[in-house]
Amino acid sequence: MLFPPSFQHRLITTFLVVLHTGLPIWAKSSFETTLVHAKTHWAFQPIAKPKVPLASEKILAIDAFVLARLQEEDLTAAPSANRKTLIHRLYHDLHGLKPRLEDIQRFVNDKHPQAYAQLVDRLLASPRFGERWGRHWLDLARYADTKGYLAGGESRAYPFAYTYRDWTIRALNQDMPFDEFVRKQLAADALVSSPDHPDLAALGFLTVGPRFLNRKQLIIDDRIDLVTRGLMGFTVACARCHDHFHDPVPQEDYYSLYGIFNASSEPKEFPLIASSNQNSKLYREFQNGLDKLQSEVNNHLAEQLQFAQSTKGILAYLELTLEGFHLDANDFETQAAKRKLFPKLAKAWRTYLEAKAKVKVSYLTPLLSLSRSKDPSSMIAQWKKKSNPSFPAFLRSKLQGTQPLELGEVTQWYAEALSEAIERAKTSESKKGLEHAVSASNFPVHLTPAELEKHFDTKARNRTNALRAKVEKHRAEHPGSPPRAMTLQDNAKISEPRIFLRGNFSNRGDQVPRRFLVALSPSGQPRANYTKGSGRLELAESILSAHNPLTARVMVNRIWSHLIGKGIVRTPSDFGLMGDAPTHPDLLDYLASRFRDQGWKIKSTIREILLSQTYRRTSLGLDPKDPDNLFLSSMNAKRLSFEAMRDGMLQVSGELDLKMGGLPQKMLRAPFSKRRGVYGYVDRQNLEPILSVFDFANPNIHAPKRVETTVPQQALFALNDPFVIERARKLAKDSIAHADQHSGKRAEVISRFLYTRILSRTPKPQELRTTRDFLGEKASLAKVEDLGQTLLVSNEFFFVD
Amino acid sequence: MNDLHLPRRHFLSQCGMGFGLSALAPLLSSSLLQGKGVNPMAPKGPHFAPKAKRVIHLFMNGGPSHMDTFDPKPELDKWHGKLLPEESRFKTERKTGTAFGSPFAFKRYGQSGLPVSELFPHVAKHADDLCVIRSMQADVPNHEPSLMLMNCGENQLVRPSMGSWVTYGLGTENNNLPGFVVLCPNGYPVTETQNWRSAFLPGIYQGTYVNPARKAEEEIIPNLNPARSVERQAPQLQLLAKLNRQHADQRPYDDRLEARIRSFELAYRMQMDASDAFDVSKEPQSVRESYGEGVHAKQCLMARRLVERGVRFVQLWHGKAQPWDSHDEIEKNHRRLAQECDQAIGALLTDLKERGLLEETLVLWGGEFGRTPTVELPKPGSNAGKVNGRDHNHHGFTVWMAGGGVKPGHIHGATDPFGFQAIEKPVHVHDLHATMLHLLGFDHERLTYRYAGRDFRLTDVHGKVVTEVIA
Repeated sequence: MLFPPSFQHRLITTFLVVLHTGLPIWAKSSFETTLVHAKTHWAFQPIAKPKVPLASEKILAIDAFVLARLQEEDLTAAPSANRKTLIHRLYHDLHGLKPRLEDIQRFVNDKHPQAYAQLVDRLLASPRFGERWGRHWLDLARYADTKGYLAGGESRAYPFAYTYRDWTIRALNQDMPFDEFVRKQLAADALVSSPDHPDLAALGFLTVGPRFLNRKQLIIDDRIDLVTRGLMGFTVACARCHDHFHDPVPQEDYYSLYGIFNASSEPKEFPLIASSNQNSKLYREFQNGLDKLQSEVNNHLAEQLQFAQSTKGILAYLELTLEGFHLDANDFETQAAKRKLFPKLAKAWRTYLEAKAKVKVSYLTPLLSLSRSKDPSSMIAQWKKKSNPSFPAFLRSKLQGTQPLELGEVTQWYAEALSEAIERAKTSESKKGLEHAVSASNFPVHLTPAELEKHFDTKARNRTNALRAKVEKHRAEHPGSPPRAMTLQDNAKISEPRIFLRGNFSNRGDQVPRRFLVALSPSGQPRANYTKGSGRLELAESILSAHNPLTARVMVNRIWSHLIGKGIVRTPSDFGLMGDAPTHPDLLDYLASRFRDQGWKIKSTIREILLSQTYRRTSLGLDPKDPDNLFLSSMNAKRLSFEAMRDGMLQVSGELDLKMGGLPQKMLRAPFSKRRGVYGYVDRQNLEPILSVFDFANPNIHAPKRVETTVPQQALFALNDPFVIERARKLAKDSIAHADQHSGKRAEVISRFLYTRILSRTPKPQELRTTRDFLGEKASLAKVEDLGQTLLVSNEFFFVD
Repeated sequence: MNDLHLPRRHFLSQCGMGFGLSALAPLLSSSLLQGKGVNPMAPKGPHFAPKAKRVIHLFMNGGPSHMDTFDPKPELDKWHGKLLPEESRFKTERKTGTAFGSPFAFKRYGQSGLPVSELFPHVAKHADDLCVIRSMQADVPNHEPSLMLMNCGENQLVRPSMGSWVTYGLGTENNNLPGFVVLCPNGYPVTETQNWRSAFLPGIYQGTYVNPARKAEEEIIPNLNPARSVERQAPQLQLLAKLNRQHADQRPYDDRLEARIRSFELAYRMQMDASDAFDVSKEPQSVRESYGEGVHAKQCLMARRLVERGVRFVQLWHGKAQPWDSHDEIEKNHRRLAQECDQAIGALLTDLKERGLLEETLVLWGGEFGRTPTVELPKPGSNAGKVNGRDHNHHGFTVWMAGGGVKPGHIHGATDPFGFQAIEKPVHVHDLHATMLHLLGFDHERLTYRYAGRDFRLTDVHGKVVTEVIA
């Protein structure tokens, strides 16, 4: 990587900033060292088009690179796996499911010379592919159906997160080119032709993240981390508080990206993305329910306003204000709370009356004077003797009537008159007298219901939150709820970002332009500032630019690791100086350059890898000289993810429901959804313990890859979870029904049936003896169930060769 | 490891029907229990010889008042009702007013003469075991960030909890139980499961939540209750082991297969041992009586049973939400809260000591912050206009530790004469973490996990070991 010549100068500026911020002096020298190291770091070099070694027509390029490396290391390549193993492997890697015995037999007996390639193509074309690979992407995108921790009864649901999940699955199934895939996830709003375009859902990539109690700076930090690590394997978020300690990211680069995301926000209401059938029964049900719940919110707000504008309400606030003029602000608000009035509204009344008290003559002057008078009764008596032309009309007419003695009556009159005036003002064209006064912008209850909400006390606010949460829950859970896209839009007003010194939001430093990262920009020319709206689309173009060597490398490495079991770079989201070096740098560049230059095709890249001998090698032939199989003398065996295990269990018990898309399903509590795991509900805040136990991707942060642990809590699931027990029971019933219709030794018939269904093979004679002994002659329902469960939780089921 | 043989024998002697010892032998061969690389919970060695091997964290969530418990302030009583001098007043979450002397009387206890208020008479009996840090500091006066700081070493960002770090670093000494157990009666504290999350560490290091007040029929942890009778499950597991063994024999280089085989053996025993560990009715009546009545007695006794069995980190919360948050009626509320837990905590210390466990068990008592020496002014809608409570205080507060290699009968640091701010030898929460890790045998700067381009640690870029509190 080369830095622009002007960068040395800017370094000095950075140095001054460093001094200014009081960062330790070594921060500067260490960043300079970082820059020097970064210049030669492999990941920042342009993607090469390496010459394929051992060139021959018979050897595919991928294999040539791998074999050359094996030769260098003096390792021996393992032979190919048999077809049975290969089809298991392909079903797992492409679909996350099990091949059925008949699929296996068909493939094993297929004499066509292209039988393997045809199988690969068939599997790539199936919608199951997008479900498996969509989940890989959702791990990376820290997908969840909830926002995370929120207090005060606010709804935590993301009712429409699933539209992003479904968009991802669809895009992968359609083999959307990766550049388009990225562009839409960062800036679909700038690309679509209509405001209800389904591609808007792609923006969920940015918006389904954690909300950090709605702290904007942290929401943006999460998005920067997601975009830079997720798409480029570049740990830019490290530069929030200072220049990156290890990678060439000056702090200003972080804030350039910060400005981009700070210039975008979610719309008040997410747009509908599919025209729902308004006549369907389900939709009507949803809409009626929604109307009812929404009107409960509106009624609650309206009731609050009604009270605030009623005689009773105005009287309460007037009395409080007149009595509490002498109190300090805090005590005054406390008095309001004691009277169950809104302290903030009381404050507004007080401000209003204070302002009126400063005016020589206003309609409130009589009331204010009276409230300050030591002898209100005689003041009223005085009034009655005069004509009082400055008094409001209602007061003059009241004074002609009965004999008032106290302030209380007058206050009551005022409250009545004001409340009536508010009512009249709502309909009258030309406002006169009090109608004019109550329509003034500073009149405390000249408010819409929404404006009054800002004055609510905790109790009223909690009630509003609770009612709104019901609306959100309905939208999130009702099957008739029409889908909406979790979009972003550019803000109307966009300002250039400022550095937060030491990451402290309240400590603003220099302004920086919105633009791309220095380390990944073309050297020798000034970096262009982003000028189109927020700059998200320009950011996407920079990420995909030919000058940026990371994006293509990172993505092919992810594809490689999902298929081969381990990455060429084993730190898939960190290609920086702290990350691992590639075991096969030439191979990585070969794949990356082809990926980028041939249309960013994910399925083509997958296909090329699957057709290699490297992928097809047996996993049983590890060369002991390379115990970690760094150089791929054999294939890596794989362990099922939680979803693949769960889907597989449903599949072999004959219960898997292949319906695609829609609202998230409850997977882990009875009654269990029979849908695929990718459609499962993910609660970000309190992730189901079972998911944690099975190494599910943490939805609070970008997950580079799933860790793999083996712990007894996983075995407890296998032994005792009602989900597993239910599947075993279903298999047992099927077995017995089968045995009742087939002749032969009952225990053997049942064993064969269970092996075929669960492990997609026939049992070996030795296994048949073992299982026959286990079942006993009677082969009771309980025994059959136990055998079924044993096979379901066996290592053979849980690992793929 | 020795402890774990006891419950197993106990279990075996109880279920002699249906199958004999020999039938279980392959399931229970203890040679298989030793970690072999892939078991993330296998016992691991710290950086240097540890003083403590396990931790019990008594979390007084909500923030107990230090002036009313372990940090007496006679000067404050003199100023009661008057405004403190300008330079002794600090900003907290809400407005506070005049000085508010403690309504509780202090007495000195033990040979150390350590002062404890009337709120904790049972804990006070252990004055000579306590190491009281009176100069604690956190960053902000709000619950959520301070809970995150105390538990995860960071106010806002997603970071692993202390219990997760400790189990990641040390593994567990009993694979039949979770390594990190969290007890909180009847629900979650504020910020819920975030308090014991593993963040970017593998999920298995996350705390396992247990409701100590759960009903007898409820499961302690998911899937712990056997779905089948022992008579049914044992042969099933033998079959599974046999099939898995045949499968593994053909795949000699994949140690994950072996690890999974072992995980079933462990799970089988966990079903019995874990239920047993949480069953306080197994304790003799005299022991149960010493802990007292109620859920705090129960969870303190559970904690002892857990650490005794090798659980690495037990965190006990006073209750759901934030019980110690006495913005008003502090006299009434603190008295009630202390009464709920004092006897149980005292009994726990006694019990640990009598069993020789205290020496290697680090007990930590405290909240996420302390409270103000000034009275909280009434705030509409939040403290109902009462003027008899205290606001949050992160400028200075108290925690105490016991056992695990801390200096007994010792007081470290001090707040100002009113208790508002730590002025002598301040100990930031990061320093507390560094010190706790040190007692557990870790250099806090070297207990790291590589993630997102750098090595993370509990103390981030902070933390200094407070050597003066170490015995």
